[in-house]
Amino acid sequence: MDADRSLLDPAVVRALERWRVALRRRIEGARAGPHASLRRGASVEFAEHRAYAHGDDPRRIDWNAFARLGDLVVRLFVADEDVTVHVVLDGSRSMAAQGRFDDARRLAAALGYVCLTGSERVTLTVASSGGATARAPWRGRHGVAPMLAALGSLRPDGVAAMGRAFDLMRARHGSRPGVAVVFSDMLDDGECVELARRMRLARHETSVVHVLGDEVLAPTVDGASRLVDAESGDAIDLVIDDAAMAQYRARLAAWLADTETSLRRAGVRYVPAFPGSDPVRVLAATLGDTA
Amino acid sequence: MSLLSPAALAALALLVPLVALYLRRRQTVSREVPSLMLWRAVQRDLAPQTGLRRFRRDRSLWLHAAALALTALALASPLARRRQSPARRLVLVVDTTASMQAREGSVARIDLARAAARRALATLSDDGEAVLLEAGCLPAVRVARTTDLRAVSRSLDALRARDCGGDLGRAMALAADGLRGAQGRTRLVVITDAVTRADALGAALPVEVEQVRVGRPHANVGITAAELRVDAEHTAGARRYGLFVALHASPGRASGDVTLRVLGDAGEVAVRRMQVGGARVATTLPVDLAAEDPTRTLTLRLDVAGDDALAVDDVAWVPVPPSPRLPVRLVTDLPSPWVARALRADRDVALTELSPDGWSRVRAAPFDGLTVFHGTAPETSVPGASLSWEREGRDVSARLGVSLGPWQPSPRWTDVSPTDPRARFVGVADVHLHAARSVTRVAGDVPLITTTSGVVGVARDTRDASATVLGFDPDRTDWPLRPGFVLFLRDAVEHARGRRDALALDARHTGRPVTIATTRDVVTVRGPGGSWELSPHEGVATWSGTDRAGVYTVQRGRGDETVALSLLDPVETSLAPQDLPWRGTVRRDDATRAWENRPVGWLFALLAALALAVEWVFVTGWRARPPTARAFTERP
Repeated sequence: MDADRSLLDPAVVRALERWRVALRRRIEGARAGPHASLRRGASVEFAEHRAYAHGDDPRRIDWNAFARLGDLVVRLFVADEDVTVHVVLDGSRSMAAQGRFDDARRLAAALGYVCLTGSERVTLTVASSGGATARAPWRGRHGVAPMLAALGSLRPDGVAAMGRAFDLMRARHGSRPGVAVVFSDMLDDGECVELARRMRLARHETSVVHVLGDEVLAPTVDGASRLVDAESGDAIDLVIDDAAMAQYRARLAAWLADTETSLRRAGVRYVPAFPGSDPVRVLAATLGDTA
Repeated sequence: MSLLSPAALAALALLVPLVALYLRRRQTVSREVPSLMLWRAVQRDLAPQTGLRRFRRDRSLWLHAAALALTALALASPLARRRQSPARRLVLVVDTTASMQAREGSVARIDLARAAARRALATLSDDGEAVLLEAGCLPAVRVARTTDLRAVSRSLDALRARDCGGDLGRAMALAADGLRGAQGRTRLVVITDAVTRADALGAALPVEVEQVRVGRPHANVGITAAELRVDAEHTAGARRYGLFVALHASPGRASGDVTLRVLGDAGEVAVRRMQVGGARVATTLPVDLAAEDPTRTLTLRLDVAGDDALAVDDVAWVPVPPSPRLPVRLVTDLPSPWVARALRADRDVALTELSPDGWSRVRAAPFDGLTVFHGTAPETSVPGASLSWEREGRDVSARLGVSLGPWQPSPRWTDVSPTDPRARFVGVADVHLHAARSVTRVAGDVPLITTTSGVVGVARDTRDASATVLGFDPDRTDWPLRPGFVLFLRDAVEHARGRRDALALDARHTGRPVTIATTRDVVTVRGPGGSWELSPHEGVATWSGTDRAGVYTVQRGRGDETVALSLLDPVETSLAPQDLPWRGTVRRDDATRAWENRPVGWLFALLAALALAVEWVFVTGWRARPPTARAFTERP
C-alpha cells in the first residue's frame, strides 16, 4: 500500500485539488453528478419541450403546456451527471526505459485521484504484451486505494496494442461518452493517434499525454551500433555520427509536430510530458484549466 | 621540396596500428532503443550519402592520420625551395674525385657539376665575388676570390674528374679560409655526388653548407686491391707469382659475370671469370712469367657484363716485384772460396764472381745488389752497396777513395757497433788479427769495428752509395773460421737488400705523392697524365701529379723505371653516397639555380597540432557533446 501511495506526490495532489474536470462540452453521465449532462434529466434547469412518447415518464408531462396548446409535451431538463474518466495506459516495453512508465503511472494516479475525489468514475485500461487489460471502474474516494493498487501492480512488457485497448474499454465500460486520457510514448507508428481519433469519434473528451524521455529526445548512442527495438527485438545496423544525429533530430521534431497537428485536427488535446515538465501543468493541461 | 632526414618517414608506419585501433573501435556495439521507428527513417534518409558519411564517420581517423603524417614529415626536416636573394660572395667547392667520372646517361657527373656551379654563379649579385675550389685528390684553389665570373667559368671548363679518391673535409677546411672576411650574404655551395670521404671535416664554417648532390645510384664494379707476390714454390725456369685481387661492387648491384684478364708485355698471362654482386669479392690467381719475360708491370683489365658506370676502376696495374734473390757480385782476382761459400749461405743471393775486367764491362748497367771487392778494386767510387777490405800491398780502400792509416800489428778487437745492422750478431771474442789499418773517418761514417789500434771498420753512406770498408784482411785473421764472419757478410747482404727495397718505386695508388730517391739533379716522369721534371731535394724528388691512372716512366739515373698508378679505392668504386658529417646544416638540392631551401618542418608540426586541435574540439571535445532534450522540454 505504501508503494502504491508513492505513486501520489502530495505536492501534486494538493496542487490538483484546485482543479476540476472542466469539460468543454456537456457530455452524458451514467449517474447524477456535478457536471451538466447532455442527457435531459431531473435537474431544475429547464432545457426544452418535446412531444410525449410512449414510455416517457408521465411525471415529466408539462400539463400547463397541454392546457394552453392541447398537445402532450414533456419537459426536458439539463441533467447533472457524473463523468467517466477512461485512463488508457501504454504498458509496452518501450515505456520501460528511464522510468517513463513510472512517470506515466504517477500522472495517471494523480489524475485518477482527482477524479475519484470529485465523484467521477475512473476506468483503467492497459495496453501491453500484444493485448490489453481493463479494470473494473472505481468511483468515489473508496476507489482511490484499489486504483493505486492496480497501477502499482503494472509492469511494462511486450508490444502495445492500442486498438485492442479501445475495443476492450468500450466492451467493458460501455460506449457512453466520457473523458479519455491516454498515456503513451506513441512510438507505435501512428497506432496511438488512430486510437485517439476513434475515441474522439466515440465522443469522448480525449487527451493524449505524450510521455517521452531523453532516450528518445536526445539519445546518446554513438559510433557503429546495432540498434535493437525494445519491443519487437528487431535490429538495424547504423553508424551514429553527427549526420545521423542531425537527421534523427530532424525526424524527431517532424514526428512530434505531425503528431500534435494530427491530434489537434482530430479534436484531441495533446499534452507533452517530457523530462523536466511540471506534472501539475501536464495534468492541468490534460483536465482543462477551469479551476 | 626535399627532406633532410628521410629516415624519419619511418614513423608513418605508425599509421598501421592507428588504423587498426580505429577498426577495432568501429566494431558494432549492440544497443537497445525504445523503438526503431525514428531510426529506420534516419537509415532511409542517410542511405544515399554513404560515401560522404563514411568520410565524416572516420573524420577522427583522418585527422589523427593527418596529424601523424604531418608529424612524420616535420621530423623528416623538409626543405622548401624559394627564390633567394643574390649572394655577395659565393664559394664553390666542386668534387672532382674519380666517382665524378660516372656516366649519367650521355654526360658525366662532372658535367652536371659544372652546370650546377654555373647555376650557382647566376645567384651572385652584380658585384659579387666567387671562389672556386677543387676537391680532388688534394684540395686546390682554382680561382681565388674574384669578381671576374668569366675566369671562374673558364676554370670550370678546365675542371676534370680525376682518377683518384679524395677527402672532402680538407676542401671544406680550405673553404673556411675562403669565407674569412666575407661581408654581406655569403653562400658555400658544395657540388658533389657524396661519394667521397670527409674524414678531415672539422672546420667551423660560418655559413650554412649547401650541398648540391649530382648523380644517381648506378651499378658498378671495379678493382679495389691488387698485389703480386712471389710464390714460394717458384720453378727454376719460370717465375710464379700469386696475384691477389679484390673487386668491389656498388650496393644493390645484381650478381653478374665479370672477367678479369691479366696482361703482360707478351700478352694475356691469366684470366678468371667471377660472379660479383653487391659486395666484395677477393681471389688469388697464379701468374707464371718466363724467366726471360721482361714484363715489369702487369695490367689487370675487368670486362663487366651489364651496367658499369665507372671505367677508371676497371683497369689496374701491378708492378712485377723484383726477384727476392739479391744479386751479389764478388769482384776478385784471388781465390776466395770461403767468401763465396759464406755469401752462398744465403739462398736468396744470386752470386756472380767477376774479375776486375769483367766487372768493368757490366758496371754501367743498372745494378741494385751488393758488390764485394776482395783483394782488388776499381779506381773510382762505386755506386750502390759495396763491401771491401784491405789487403797488404793492394791499397784496395785507397782505390775506392777511403783513407787508411798505417798497418798496426796484432790489434785486438775492443768493440763492435751495437746499433748498426751491418754489425748485428758480430761478436768481438776469439778473433785475432794479424794486422790492421785504422780508417780515417769522415763525417757521417759509422764505426763498426773498433780495435786497440782504432776504428778498423766503418760504414759510409752517401747519397748514391753505401760502402762498408774494413781496414784489415780477413785472410790474415781467424775470423773466417768464426760464425761472426758469415753473419757479417749476411748483414751486408741484408743491408743491400733493404737499400734496394727502399729505392723501389712502389707507389700504386693515384692521388698519393711518389718519392723518388735519386742522385741526379733532375728527375723526369712521363706518362698518360703528362710529363714532369722534378728537382730533388737532398736526393729525394717528390712527384705529386699522380691524379691520372696509368704506367709512368721515371728517369732518375738508374735507367728507365716504371711506376704504375691505379685507383684502387673502394669508396669511389662503390658509387654509394656517404653520410657526410654535416647533417643539420646542409641543404640538399638537385638544382640550385636561383633558389634556396628553407626548413619548413615547423609548418608541418603546426599543421599537425592544428589537426589534433580540430579533432579534439569538433570530434571528441566539448563542441561535440550530444544535444540535450532541453529543446523539446521547453515546449508548452
